[in-house]
Amino acid sequence: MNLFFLNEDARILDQIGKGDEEALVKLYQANERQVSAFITRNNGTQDDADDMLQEALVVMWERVRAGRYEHKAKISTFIFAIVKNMWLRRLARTRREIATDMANDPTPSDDSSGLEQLIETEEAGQVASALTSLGDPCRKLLLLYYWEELAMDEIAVQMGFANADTVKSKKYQCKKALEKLLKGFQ
Amino acid sequence: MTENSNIHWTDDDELLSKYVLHLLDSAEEARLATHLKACEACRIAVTNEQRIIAGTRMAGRTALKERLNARLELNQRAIAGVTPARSNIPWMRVASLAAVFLVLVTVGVYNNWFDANTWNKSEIPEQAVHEQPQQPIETESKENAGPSPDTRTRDDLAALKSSVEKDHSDKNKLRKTEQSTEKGALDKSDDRFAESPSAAPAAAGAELSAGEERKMENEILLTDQATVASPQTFWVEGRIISTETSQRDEKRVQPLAESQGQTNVFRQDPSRLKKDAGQPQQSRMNTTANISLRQMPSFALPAALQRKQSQLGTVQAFIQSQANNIQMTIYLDSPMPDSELQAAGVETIGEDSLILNLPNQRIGYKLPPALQSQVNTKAKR
Repeated sequence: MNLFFLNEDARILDQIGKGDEEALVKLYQANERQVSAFITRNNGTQDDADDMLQEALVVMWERVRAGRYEHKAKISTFIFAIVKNMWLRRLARTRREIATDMANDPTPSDDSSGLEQLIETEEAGQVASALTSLGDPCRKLLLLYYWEELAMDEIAVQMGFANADTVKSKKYQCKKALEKLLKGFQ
Repeated sequence: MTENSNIHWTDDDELLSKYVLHLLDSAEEARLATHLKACEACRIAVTNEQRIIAGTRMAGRTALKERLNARLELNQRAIAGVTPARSNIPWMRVASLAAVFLVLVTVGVYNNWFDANTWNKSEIPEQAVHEQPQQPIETESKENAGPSPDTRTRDDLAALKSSVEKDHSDKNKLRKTEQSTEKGALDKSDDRFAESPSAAPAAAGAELSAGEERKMENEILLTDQATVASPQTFWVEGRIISTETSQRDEKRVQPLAESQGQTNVFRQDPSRLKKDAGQPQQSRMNTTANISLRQMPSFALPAALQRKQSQLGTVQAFIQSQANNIQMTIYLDSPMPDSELQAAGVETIGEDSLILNLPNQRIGYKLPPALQSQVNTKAKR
């Protein structure tokens, strides 16, 4: 039985490594019930469960694609661990916000992480918008490099560039174009 | 890296990216981090790079989630087995309409097939008649002559009448087909017909003595079938009695008058034939009986009659009776010269038979009942 799951996991990892997003659908369906049961038992809704599972799958995708995933346990165990950590952190933050509201403390919190996080999220949103209006070749190249964290030669193969040096040069041009767009947003 | 006051390691775009992505080894990363503390421009470059990476990741994650949601939705629809587009289609109604359409098409195809096979049906009685033993005209042998006229007269005539009555039911279809074939054949047949103007008739009979000839005439008149196509039009099948005209029994022969119409166009040049293709190729004879005689190539016949003519050596004729005029079209394997057509005469035998006397052959026809009185009345004048 374990061998079966290991084989299935290997197949899933291979699919993700090749960029086949259908693997995420399989993982979603395989873990949906377990995640839903956990979230709804811990003050969450079905929407929260869906959201958490999707976040976990994205993390899984990023790690495998970036070569930072270590297959030490079953994939379902890994996904459930991510969901559990994210949900508990969110619950903790919510409780803290509730506690703050109840205390009705007029002084700003010393903890600036919330504000910084908000600013970071705002800035990231601006970059994401600028990236959308950047056009497909540059957008794809930057996503492969910064999000998927693929090496230059891998990007060259995937995007049909001559070699890694070409990709390096192209990536520099695209980044400058993105920065120019961002200046327009500010 | 370079510690020059104007040159910073953050100017190396790849190094900057690798530093922010933590793709450098820890020692290198620590060394660069130390430099950042003293370099304001480098810190700004790193912050910018982090912002770009964060934004790119956000964009990537958002896009991936959207694609995942779309796939999940598609899968759920597939599992449910109903898509919104499908649910709006009344499948039961569509299936009913399809079934009705199929039935109509089937009926239409069947009817079309039925019409197309009308010829086959019309052939049946004719074939049935010919399956009855008949003596070939060309042979004089008594053994080959089959049953004598005396022994077969009533039965054969009864069979003949029944077949004629059967065929009468298909008369309209038969008439249409015959007329269209007759017209169409003119266009394509004239050249071919002109190629062998002097060819001998395929089934020219042997010469017979007067007695034997009379016997044969009786035989033909008894066994020949007349196919009624309509009250005014008839197909009759003629038997070649002899290859030379017998001038005995002159009192009953009505010579056709001199031709006053055009000459035999079958023998003329192809260009004229094409021009005249739409016109009936006839040599009109003014007779006392108002019989017009014209000739047509045998390949203008309907396929069944053409086959029968070539196999049995008969001469098919198409008779159209209108008011006091009778137009007789004989279908010949080879065209007849003007002189022969002009010299043609009509001889009546009994009440129901007619012999067409051509210069080189005599052809006997049994007339359908509807035409018998008309011909005899005219002949008696």
